[in-house]
Amino acid sequence: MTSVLEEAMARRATAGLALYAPGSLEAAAHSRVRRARTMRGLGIAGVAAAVVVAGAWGAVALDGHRGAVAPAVTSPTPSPSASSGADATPGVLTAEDLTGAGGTVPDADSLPAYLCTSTLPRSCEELFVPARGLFSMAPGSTRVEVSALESSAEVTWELTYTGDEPARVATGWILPVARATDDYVGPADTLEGLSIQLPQDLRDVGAGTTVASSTVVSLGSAPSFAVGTAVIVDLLVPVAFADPDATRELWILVDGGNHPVTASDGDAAAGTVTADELRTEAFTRHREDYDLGTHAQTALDCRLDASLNPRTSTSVEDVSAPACDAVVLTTEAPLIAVTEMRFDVDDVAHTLTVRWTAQNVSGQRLNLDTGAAAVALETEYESTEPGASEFLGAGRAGTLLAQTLWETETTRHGLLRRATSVETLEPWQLFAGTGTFDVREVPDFAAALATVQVRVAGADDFAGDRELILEASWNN
Amino acid sequence: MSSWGAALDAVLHQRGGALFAYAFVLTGDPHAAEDLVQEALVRVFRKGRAPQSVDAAHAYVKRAIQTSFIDTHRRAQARPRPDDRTAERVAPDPTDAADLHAALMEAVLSLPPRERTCLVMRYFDGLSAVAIAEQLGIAAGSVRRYLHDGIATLQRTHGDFGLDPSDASEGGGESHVIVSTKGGRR
Repeated sequence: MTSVLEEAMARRATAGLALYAPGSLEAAAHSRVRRARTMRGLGIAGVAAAVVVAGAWGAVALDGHRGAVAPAVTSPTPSPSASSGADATPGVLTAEDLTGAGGTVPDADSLPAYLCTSTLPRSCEELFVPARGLFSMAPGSTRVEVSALESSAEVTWELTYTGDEPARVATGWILPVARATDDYVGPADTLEGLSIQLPQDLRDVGAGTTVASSTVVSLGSAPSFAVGTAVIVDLLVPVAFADPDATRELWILVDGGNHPVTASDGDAAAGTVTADELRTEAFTRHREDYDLGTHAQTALDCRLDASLNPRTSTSVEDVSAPACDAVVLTTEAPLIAVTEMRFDVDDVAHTLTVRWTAQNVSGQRLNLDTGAAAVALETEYESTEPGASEFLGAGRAGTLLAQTLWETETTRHGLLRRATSVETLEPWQLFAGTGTFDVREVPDFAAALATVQVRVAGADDFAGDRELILEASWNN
Repeated sequence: MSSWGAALDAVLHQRGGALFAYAFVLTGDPHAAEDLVQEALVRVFRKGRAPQSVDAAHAYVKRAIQTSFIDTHRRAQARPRPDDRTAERVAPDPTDAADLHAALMEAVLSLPPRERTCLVMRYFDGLSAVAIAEQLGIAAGSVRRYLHDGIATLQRTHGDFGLDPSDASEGGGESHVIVSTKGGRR
């Protein structure tokens, strides 16, 4: 009798078909796709801009306070607009501005917000305020460390204010809302259970101000996530009212985006993951896996003759770029993420130096061959058919250059090197590398797809007939 | 017109109704279904190369509907909403097939997104747990758990409906072979 469910779904589909008006989707779909393609183009162009702004980002130091709700730290290098608007002037964005333009129905420019009483316990109501685009979380900086002993989690996050005019924000009281990817946490519940009161001595933050902090949150007796859980972190940002006598508080919910991180073990040494363990749930990645998203960790599973592997054989060249099976190791959360990539051009020496930093975001120890890590540039990765690259350059200095690394619809080239240095990377540990290209071979480097490749050591790392290379893209 | 634009028009012209109906089965709401199809189209067509055939585009968009539905629901859960999983039992009149089907679909709509998606892929697409796992990129054991839990929740919260959790996790057919531009199997 299970077929009753089949019948019910078939009937529902028939009803859906009757509701469909041919031609009703085309205009909106064209518009949304065109906008997405435009935004994507801007994202790629942003690589070049990173050369300029990387210094400012690098100046932001994470404040790693443990054991207490830590005061936030603002960027030591505020932008000119920040200093010019530091006083409470009419040009300051306050809660009155946002609530006045808000409503109970969301739209494209709105974010969910909570208007609460300032007396305890809080009572909050949800509304939507025109704040989209005012705040931006840095997903690469988010981390969650669970302490089962203390029934708590230390959540580290980074937020940048990107509005045009200064905003009055209680930066010291920004609250993370952490939840398992398939779980539900009500921000209003978080606020109504909050026992602190917002301070009165608030300051205004200017465009480009970055706040980075760690906050310890209680997980209670029935934790909604544990070590190994894929967790999404959003932030509740308190925007102050200009009226010092206001009896309300406004908290804006800034979406952390679809970038889960794996909760690591804050109590004990984590286990070390090997290539063999990572392969257990791998499945084939296809070149046209358009919807993999930011949850996935992709890799290259290389099977080769050990005598042709430069890592284990001295009878071959120092580098090799075999075509390997493209795989997806997990779709829950990535294992590594590129946190920074800088492109420096030397017009005299005709070099393009790519400096990258990546992070172990797996929540576990990873045995990575950081000495053999490489950066790959694919110059025409979307328009070149698999296997049709005119050149494929594999350099000793940890570089790989091609129009596309795809050899077939399901295989990609990976770099193997004689140079090797296997390190055990702790959860959240950073690792870095540099690759130097001939800029004349890649003049339009800003439009290239840049990917870091790093080999995972196997349980028996003396064997050279199979290698697993993790991939993490910077701009895709 | 751009190549992606022509491909998008072609798939909507020939398969728009089927894609909308599929999204409607998942969401139960015509506006949400329309949004879901559009989100899926964005995922498929936002990159430079568009799928070259209507069959391929249909397959990609359908898969993107499934994954978008799960992702979108995740984001929506950032906002408070009632949890229907402890709702009182509905007691449909088993002699009235239309009532039974409507009650059953309302019950399905109360399930979390992963369970709901797996049930639709199992009972509407007729796929096995292994095939569903392959398409969603998750472990077959996880799919069996979602199917089992989904059916168990339907029975617990909305009535028996004559459903069988073991059939849910063990039945179904093989994965559809999706046509791709270079003949790769998905």
